[in-house]
Amino acid sequence: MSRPEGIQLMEGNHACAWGAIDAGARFYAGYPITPSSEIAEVCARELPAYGGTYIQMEDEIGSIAAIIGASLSGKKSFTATSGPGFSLMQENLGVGIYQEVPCVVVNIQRVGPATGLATQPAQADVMQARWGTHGDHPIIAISPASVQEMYDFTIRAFNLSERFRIPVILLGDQVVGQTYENIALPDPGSLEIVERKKPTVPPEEYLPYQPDENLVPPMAAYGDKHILHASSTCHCETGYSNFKYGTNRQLLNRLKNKIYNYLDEIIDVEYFGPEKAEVTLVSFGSASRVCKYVVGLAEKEGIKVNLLRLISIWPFPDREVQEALAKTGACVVAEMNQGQVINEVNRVNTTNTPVHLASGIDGELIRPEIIMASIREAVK
Amino acid sequence: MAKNWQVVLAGEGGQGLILAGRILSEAAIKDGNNVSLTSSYGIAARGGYSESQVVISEQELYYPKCASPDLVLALTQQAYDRYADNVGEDCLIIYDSREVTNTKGKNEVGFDFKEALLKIGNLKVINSLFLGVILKHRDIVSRDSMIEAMKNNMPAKIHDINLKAFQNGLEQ
Repeated sequence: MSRPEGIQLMEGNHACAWGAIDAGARFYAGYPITPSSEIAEVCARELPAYGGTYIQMEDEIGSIAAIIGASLSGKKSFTATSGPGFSLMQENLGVGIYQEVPCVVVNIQRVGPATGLATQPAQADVMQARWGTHGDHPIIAISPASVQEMYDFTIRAFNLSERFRIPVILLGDQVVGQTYENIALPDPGSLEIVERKKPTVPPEEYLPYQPDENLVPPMAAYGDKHILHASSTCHCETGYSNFKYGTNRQLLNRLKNKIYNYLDEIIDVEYFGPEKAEVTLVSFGSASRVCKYVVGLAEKEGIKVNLLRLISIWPFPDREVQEALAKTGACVVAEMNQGQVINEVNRVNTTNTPVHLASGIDGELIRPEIIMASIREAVK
Repeated sequence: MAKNWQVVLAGEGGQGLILAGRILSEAAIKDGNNVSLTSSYGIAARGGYSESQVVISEQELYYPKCASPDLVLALTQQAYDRYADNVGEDCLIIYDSREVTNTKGKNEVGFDFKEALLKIGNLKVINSLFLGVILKHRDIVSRDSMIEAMKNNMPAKIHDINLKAFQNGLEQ
């Protein structure tokens, strides 16, 4: 099968794989798991024709290790998984963050914990995406809500990871992964694709972890004349371990600041519905689609509702949420978990706006009536 | 403005519900609509409850599921029971009259799929048959688009038998 042309009925997972290929990904290593397996399937079939490599690994620990290695060797690389596999990836995710390795990890969330409901959707890995790996660290996670966005945001995930030299999590769920919708893939030549910055100094002057003006070190590849050394131990600008007082502080602060000083390039939200409303919904991913539908339902009941949809989840859009809370009468956070994003919303709730939870934990796309019930509660 | 459609195809694993959902969706796209197709199935490959939901709209689709179905195909009692009490009065239920014995008798049509399949001479083409039956009752997509979508999704050697089943469904 070749690249689909024209308007197609396409599954979200397939769109993700094509987004990765169009973003320049040429290495996939993974261990197939429902409901993400179709990403592996397309990569296995298509990547070789693009000069790329597909490897089915022994497990997810190996999968993320392999994509880190491939990226350090100069390839754009990625893997896809779901909850159980995402858990196994956590240790090496930290390695990727610490060694500043651009790569993309797609998590098509399903119901957990453990095996949970293997074929059913959830959004309960939000906090795992943020804090699943040990130690202080930044992370970038973005959340698609449609098949089109599975394509678009996969490209965005690669672009962010190359720009900031950090693993980026594409946090989807079974609904966006396995829903089929009409989509037309754009001409790959029309896409804006970001490539990692390569060193410009002579090889003998190259320090692999010496940051540029954006706090991101230019990145050589293994095998280049510029010698790259990456360590998962605390390291200085040479890339070699360094245990002097101050080195870790300097490194952790730079890793944080290279992201948090440039939030304008990362944070993305969508506003939907009337500007002024009695109730503001805060949601993300597939649940945010249900919220758009609910805005119309509430209007029929005479309740003015709007939606702040979080496209980037990590770093959390503090300012945007804070401003939305200040402008509304009450807030309902709609998420397919027992309450994860709601804690972040409350963290920035400086106006003490009443915040309610609409929690969908039934192994299906959150039902509109669950959100409506929370809205009615909020306006009581 | 064309009518929006919400169609549920429900039965059990192995009945081709997911492929049929795909064919119906592709036909709707050929007709120029937006489509959302979701499938629900258990962890077993065959047997067990299985369904496809197809939402068709000229507008942007927010809710990708069938909130208020216009048509439900129920091939098992379980599938029928899941929807019979939860759909609006305008929703047509087409059920398999051999499998679904306990019915409510509202806006619904029973159809003996097995009898028709025996006449056609192939029990595997049930999905092409029920797509025909569906189009006979509701003009959800154009017949040409449906035939094109069927051909796109099946190897050439089984086109004839499936088109025969589809035609049979249309003529019931």
